[in-house]
Amino acid sequence: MSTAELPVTATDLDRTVLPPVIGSPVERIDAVEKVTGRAVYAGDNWAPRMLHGAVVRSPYASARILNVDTSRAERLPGVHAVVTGADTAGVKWGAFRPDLYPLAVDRVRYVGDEVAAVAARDPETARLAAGLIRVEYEVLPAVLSLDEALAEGAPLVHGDAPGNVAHEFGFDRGGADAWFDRSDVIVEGTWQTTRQWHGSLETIGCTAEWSQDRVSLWVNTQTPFLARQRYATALGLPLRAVRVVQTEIGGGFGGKSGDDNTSVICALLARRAGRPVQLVNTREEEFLASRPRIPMRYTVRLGFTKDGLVTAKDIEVIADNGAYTGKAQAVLGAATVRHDALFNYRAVRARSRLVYTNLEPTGALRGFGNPSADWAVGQAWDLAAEKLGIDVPDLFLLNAVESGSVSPHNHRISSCELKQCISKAAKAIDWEAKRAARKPNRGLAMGVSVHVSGRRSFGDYDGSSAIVRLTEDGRATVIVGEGEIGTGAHHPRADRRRRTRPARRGRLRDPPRHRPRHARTRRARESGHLCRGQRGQAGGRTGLPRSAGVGRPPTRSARRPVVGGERHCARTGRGRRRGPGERTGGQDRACRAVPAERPADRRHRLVRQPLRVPRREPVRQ
Amino acid sequence: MTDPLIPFSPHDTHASEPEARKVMSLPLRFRLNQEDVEIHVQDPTVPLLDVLRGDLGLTGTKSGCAIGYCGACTVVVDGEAVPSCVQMAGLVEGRDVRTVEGLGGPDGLDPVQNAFVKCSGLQCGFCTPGHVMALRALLDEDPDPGEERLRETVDGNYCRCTGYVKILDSAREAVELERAARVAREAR
Ligand code: FES
Ligand code: FES
Repeated sequence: MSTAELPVTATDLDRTVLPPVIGSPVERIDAVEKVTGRAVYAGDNWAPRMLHGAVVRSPYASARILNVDTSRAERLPGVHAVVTGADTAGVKWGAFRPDLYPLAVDRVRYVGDEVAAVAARDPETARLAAGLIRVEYEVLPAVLSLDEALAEGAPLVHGDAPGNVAHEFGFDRGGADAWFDRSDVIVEGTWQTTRQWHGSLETIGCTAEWSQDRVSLWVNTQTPFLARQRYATALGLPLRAVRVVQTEIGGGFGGKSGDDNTSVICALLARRAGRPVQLVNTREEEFLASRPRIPMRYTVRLGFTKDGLVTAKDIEVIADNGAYTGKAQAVLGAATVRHDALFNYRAVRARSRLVYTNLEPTGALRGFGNPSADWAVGQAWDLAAEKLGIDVPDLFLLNAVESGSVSPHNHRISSCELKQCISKAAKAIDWEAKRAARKPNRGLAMGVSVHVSGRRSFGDYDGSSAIVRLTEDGRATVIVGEGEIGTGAHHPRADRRRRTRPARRGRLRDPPRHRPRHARTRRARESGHLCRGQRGQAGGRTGLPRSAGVGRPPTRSARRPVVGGERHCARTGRGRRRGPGERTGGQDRACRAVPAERPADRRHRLVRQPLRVPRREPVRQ
Repeated sequence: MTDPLIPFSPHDTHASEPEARKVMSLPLRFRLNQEDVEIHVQDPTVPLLDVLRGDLGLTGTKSGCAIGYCGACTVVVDGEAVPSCVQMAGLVEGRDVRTVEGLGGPDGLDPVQNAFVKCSGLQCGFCTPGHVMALRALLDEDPDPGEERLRETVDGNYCRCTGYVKILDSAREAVELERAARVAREAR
């Protein structure tokens, strides 16, 4: 019997009437859209009259901008807007330490810094125009490593950060020195990590459209709500004037959490052009403008009793912020504090510095500081195990926290199975045998790590709450800030809504997203429940048009190219009209029937689109 | 006034717009997803990927690197999987091009697509159309490829999310589903 046939009674609401969840395979609700190529990623968006953007970037690590000459670019046919730092609100922004202008003002601070941008009718023209912008620089001395940045009298990356230190903090809990004095074995070492890029298969991109003084941004961001706040600051707008809609995301890994300028520049271009603009990073730009993992130099000192009980930990961390701060400050926080919750340290001391360099700005990447920190601290534990003559897993087991432990930061650990995890893992990877057969110069290691677990180190992120609104038709809208980036985040939500039945009559359903998308799981189909994962959308109540314009490209029939020699636009007479100064080409090459105005029926068609779910018989016609 | 840095300006031609267009665009005819298409391109050396995505609006084919490394842009040209980002558009004149939009139909997915759905061979899904097309080309050429060839094919496409285990599962499943489909076809 499918769930739909179950009579829903008052008692059902209290009782769980659920099919088994764990261990039963589920089909992803977005799978069909993705395998058919219908899922709309940032670069797949389309709007009538949409232009394409390109960015001019600094070729110098540190330089003063003397002059930006945009006249040639402006004269290039097909160019609709050119913006420079002078066209911005002149406001610095950033998640923690506002130090980044949307477009450079007076100074550039790394190779890749955004200086100017162009919007033109096609990407080729935009790139051509970007190449026509002449920027005069006065090259300044740059600091290109941690040591250079921290050297006496080093050139300053930002005038307001003496010694190039963007952020500094530390603590001494439990009296580390006293505990080191009482230790029998002390190990020490310094380890350094390097930049590492996310390499998401899809690069960062945005489509922006203004309606009066408000802007809608269709962005592939992992964090639509946080991004909205930051973009509003960067654009000098009140929050209500910015709407951020999450598109499908081709991988995030921390790199798409709204710390870069792409969307802001896209919005500036769209405002200047008075038309929608799409700006998508090239792969090369992605390496310059996404925010890679922070290189950290980690000096660790650990103290142990001769029986192998850990006493104290002392660390010094120097982290390469790059030219701008973004989330690096919080990442460094995690890298400094979080691993204190893994072992029963009696005392911990730390000193962490985030250092500006004239290198690419850094930020969040899978693990948010933990991998670098745990790697370095783990090496020190390895040294200790060797010195103490205790096998690594045994040393871990001797010192690991368990339920009821209290960390030196006074964090009470309420539930924890770290010890069980270590034992199981050692068995699963056949540690003993591997250790016995260990060859010289061959690595063999085991590490432990902890991530968020209910304690976050920064405040404006609320990933675990949801707003559930029951709608007039007895269905429910679930609003969450946790973005779907390929992890299937929408599935549990859609699933849970079906499973928990808060509404007595009727069924649970998501609200339409910024474009209607219909996905039904097999189980949903059986139970007759329509479910749609909701794509994060921040600022949906701004009264902006609900994406009548920006959505997927026109339907196939609308964009069917010239067939059999007949030009579509000649037939329909609806081809885009060119001004006398416009050159054909690029977007216009195909001469597709792009309506000059947004047709009134477009929205209609989108909303009314019938539910089209391909049947999935394994038969190919 | 002409600007030497601006390579071309239609002001120079003094031609009326339709004429100018005729001068500047070259017809390009090929078969796309079982349909004859004729479009006009300005420059036959532009990547096929740009023509598919920009001119024809077929955005199912993705651009990951644009230099022929990642395979996200894979399409099938005359039965062969090619990265469309390094395929000159002019060279597909008269040839048969298939993109992910041409697979399956309104009432059924292609067995390869079905396999990816069934085995959850995707996370963000950005690499998926490329994987699907590469496997489609393989199965068209050899309906029963061994493990080796499956791995070789999957190896040609980057996936930054999944770790490939489920993609390989999907590839194996695709072979099975393809076989079942063939049997069903023959029985009819
Ligand atoms: S986009 Fe063509 S191979 Fe990467
Ligand atoms: S699923 Fe994201 S790249 Fe493969």
